[in-house]
Amino acid sequence: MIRSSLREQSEVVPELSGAPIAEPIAGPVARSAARLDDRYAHGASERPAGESLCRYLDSFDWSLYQAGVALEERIAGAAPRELRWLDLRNDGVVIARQTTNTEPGFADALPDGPVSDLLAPILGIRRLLPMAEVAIRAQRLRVLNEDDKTVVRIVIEEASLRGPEPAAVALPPRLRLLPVRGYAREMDDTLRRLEQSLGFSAGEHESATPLFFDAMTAAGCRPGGYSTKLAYRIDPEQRADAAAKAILHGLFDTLEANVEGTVKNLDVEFLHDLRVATRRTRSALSQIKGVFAPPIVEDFKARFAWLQQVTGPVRDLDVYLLDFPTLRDSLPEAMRDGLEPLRDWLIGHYAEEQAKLAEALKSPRFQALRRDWRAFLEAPTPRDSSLSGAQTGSPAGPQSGPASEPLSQPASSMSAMAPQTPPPPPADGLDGERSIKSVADRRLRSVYQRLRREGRAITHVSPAAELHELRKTCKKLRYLMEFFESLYPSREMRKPIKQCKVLLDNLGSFQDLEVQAAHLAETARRMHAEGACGVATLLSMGALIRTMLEGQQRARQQFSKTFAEFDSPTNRAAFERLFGARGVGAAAARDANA
Amino acid sequence: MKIIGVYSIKGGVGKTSTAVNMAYLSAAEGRRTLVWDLDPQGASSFYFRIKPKVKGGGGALLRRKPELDDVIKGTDFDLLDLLPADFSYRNMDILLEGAKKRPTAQLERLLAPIRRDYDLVILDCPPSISLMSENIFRAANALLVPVIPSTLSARTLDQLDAFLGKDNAQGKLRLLPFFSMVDAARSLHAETMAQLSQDYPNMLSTSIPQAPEVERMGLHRTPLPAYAPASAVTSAYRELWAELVAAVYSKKGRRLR
Repeated sequence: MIRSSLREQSEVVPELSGAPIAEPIAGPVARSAARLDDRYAHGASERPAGESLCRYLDSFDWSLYQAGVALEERIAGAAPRELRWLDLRNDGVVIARQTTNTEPGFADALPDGPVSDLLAPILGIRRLLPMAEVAIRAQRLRVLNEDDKTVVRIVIEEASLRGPEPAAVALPPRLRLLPVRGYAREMDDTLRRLEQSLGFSAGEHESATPLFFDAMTAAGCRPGGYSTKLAYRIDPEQRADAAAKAILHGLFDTLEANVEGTVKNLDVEFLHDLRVATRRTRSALSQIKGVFAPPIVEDFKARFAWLQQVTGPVRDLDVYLLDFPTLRDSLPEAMRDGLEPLRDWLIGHYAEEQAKLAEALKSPRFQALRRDWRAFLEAPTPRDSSLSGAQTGSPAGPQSGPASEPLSQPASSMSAMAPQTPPPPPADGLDGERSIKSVADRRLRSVYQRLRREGRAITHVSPAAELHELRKTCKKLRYLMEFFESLYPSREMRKPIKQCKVLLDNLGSFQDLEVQAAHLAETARRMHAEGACGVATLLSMGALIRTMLEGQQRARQQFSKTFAEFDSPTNRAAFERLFGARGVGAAAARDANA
Repeated sequence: MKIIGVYSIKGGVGKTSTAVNMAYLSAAEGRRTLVWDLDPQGASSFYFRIKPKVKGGGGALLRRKPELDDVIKGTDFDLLDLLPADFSYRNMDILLEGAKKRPTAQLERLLAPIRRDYDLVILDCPPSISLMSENIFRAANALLVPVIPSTLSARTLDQLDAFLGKDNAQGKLRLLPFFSMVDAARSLHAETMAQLSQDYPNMLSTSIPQAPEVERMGLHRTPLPAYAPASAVTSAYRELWAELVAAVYSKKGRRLR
């Protein structure tokens, strides 16, 4: 039905034509509307064509889009910016609006209002970034009755995407009919006349696409295109080295995507995501064992360890500052104000640390790491694994030069996948040519068994170092399971991953609180040495350290229970089902003998 | 939702132009505003170019068939709607008498379903004291009363005051008289104004001058601020609006109901 597409006061936009128009004022829609003016004895331009700017905002990881909404910022002349909250699951209708006088960024910097209320829980600590910008030229016409009373409004909008290039991309023109309350008959009549004069049928504007989607398509944006979730689709028969490179390449894409935001410090999540990608890269390098030549692995491991290290100080400050309200609240009320100099001190050191970080990310050392790593990841997978060592840093392998033989890359990976070709025995102990599934089975089994062994050995008197070691092993298992999830029956990996996370949470709070307490003690010493704090602050920090160490003790007391749940017979059976019966059988036998 | 009646026992005192201009200024400030043209002459409907007709007339409206919601018309201005007059409103007292119970609470009852749809309702009331006006007094938060500075006008203000005073139930209704159609050239106006301002401390300080622009509203069929935004009398209406807002919306213990 026609009405349904026009029921909303202003936001449903029947699209008239898919053909973009070039001329800003005399497009086919405008011409038709002019004709409409002639036909309607009383038609009149309500006001001259107005121009406005419309920007679509989202966080870098598209959290609004993922929640099914879009945030539109309208800027027209000197009026305050209007923010509109659109429901993308319902034709982009406006759910809420509010104004603001400043450029939107963080949720807590927006003035209070209905949009701000909806935005805050979804955006969290991320910053709003402009994803696409559209210039809109709108003309409002009105249809008058014999008393010269407005009975229907017609809005014609011509929009073009404003991009980095000077040439704007025209979007399909839009026409909207805005009903005036109490004039339904006139609305129907206008609609009928428009259909006749513009030659579209009522059915067509049911499918009106919100401008958001046209803008995204024209901008070449893929909403939801960035995610830190690992969702690899790996062919179990793929060569292990090719599959490992695919995994590492995915991590590298995430890392690269976050460099600019980290350098500019747009929000704290860029650095966080960059660090997670780095940590996962290091883990994949060392844990997908035996597929790359050890010298290459060692070289890159060291270089990524450097990256992890130079990004550490700012992350520490971020965590402190994010946690600050919670830390403050954990103290008795009388001691809370004593912490303020700590906050000042942290903020005072932030700019300096951020500058060092930005410098490191612009340094030749980091550029070389990016270049070498990309070259390694993009080099064709060697037929003979023993040659892989010779390939680092040089795009042309000795066996097949991709520059001269552009087809060699797909050819080599294709032939490796052919089941008829039995893999030659590894010449140097490398497993690069084995199937990724067999490597995954072996590694997961091995790390899982190590985790159980280490976990079972821990008693109430074990030193903290053993729990730290266990945490590392658990993290390795988790990352491996995430990398290889697609190799195993769908959904079956979910629960084991979840269980790993529960165990990691326990071990993490144990270790993090210890590290934080030590870090805080060190900070207190530095602040004291710099004369940056008085006794009250030192006492408050001392109390905070105590709270942290108490929390650590609680985590320690929780450990045996958490681990026992992880190591329950049901969970063990689930792990064993996943990673292959034979190896597990042997492990079970070993366990029984032990 | 606040309800303001623009009311006068006497006709021809600038009541409708006040209702129309106040409503326009209210909507221009972003308030969802409804004008209910209760005067069978339909002058405010005319100013908004809307036909003074309600399907089924006042009787049907009292039976809530159609609902109030279904007879509201959009004006040419954003956020500003109108409930048109109907000639049958001249018999409104008879229709109200016929109401089974509470004949003075009918207007309040009819407005209840749209309370959430509007921030302000302005009632353009018919002159006279009648059952209809009792309904208005009961439903409204405040009465804006145009007073021509003449002895006769002052008498009607006394009458209204006496009427409201004797009726305890209306004690909370705030009376906001102001001088309307003031001729600055007439010394009698000035003298009467001085006297009345003393007698009625409630008198608003803004007075609306007698001006040809106001009379031309009938030709333009448009609220005055929309076609003469810079005129002196428009400024006077803006001041009146500001005083009205302060009286009706002020939070400091001046709540009317």
